[in-house]
Amino acid sequence: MIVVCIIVILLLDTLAIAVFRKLYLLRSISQIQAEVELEMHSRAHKLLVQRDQLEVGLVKEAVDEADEKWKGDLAEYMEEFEQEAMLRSKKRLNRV
Amino acid sequence: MDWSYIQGFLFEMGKFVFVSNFVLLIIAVAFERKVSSVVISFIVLALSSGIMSAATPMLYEISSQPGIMYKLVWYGGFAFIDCVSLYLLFKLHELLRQNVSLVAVVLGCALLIFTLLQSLRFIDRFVFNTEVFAELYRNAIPALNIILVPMLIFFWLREGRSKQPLSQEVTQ
Repeated sequence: MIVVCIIVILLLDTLAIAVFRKLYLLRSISQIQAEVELEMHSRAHKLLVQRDQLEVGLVKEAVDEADEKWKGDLAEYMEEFEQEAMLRSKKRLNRV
Repeated sequence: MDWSYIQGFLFEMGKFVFVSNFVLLIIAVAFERKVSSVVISFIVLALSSGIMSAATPMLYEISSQPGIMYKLVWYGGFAFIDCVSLYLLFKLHELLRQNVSLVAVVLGCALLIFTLLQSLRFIDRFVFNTEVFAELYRNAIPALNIILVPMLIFFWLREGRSKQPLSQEVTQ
């Protein structure tokens, strides 16, 4: 009978530890998402400022060239963002 | 101030834990105004302490009978409630797609400690027949219950202060 009692109580402990680990993992995911979202927002803002400058004609002489550059920057940024999020997830979630 | 006075104080304060947790939930709902990790944490805290307060007389009555299974009802019962509360804390965050705050992690940690304390005391008392964890069990649970509320408020305020509006972050 005592063995059953010990198994029951240890099972509860194991469950509690497992759930806590899951909660901690969820926090790590949330933090990575929030970080990357903030960086994405900040960089997107810079790109938009560049776009605005193009539109108001601050760089009239090279509109086409600047527009191409902006599109290139945007594509590069999207790719980097995706890779950065994946890299951080791999690095930090393995530790949990 | 002697030790028995402190123990008596802890026991008396323990009775108000549910009330303070409930008040904390109302304050959190009033300030947060929407579903957040803090609100989820305080709902779970109020719910678990409410269930424990309601179940204590029944568990006490059952565990006062002779037999190890009856004793397991007391220790295992509380450990089970803590374990379910921890699961609810995790599941509600997942279902409502909320970022897990430091408040939730601290509460989760406290619930885990409560579960471990219950089982440690059970094993200590009925398996090894020692009284190593007797004092720890008697004092740590009410003490942790009491300091949990100010601790959660502290982390709530700290996290609230560290949250800058996104517009400010972007323009920097």
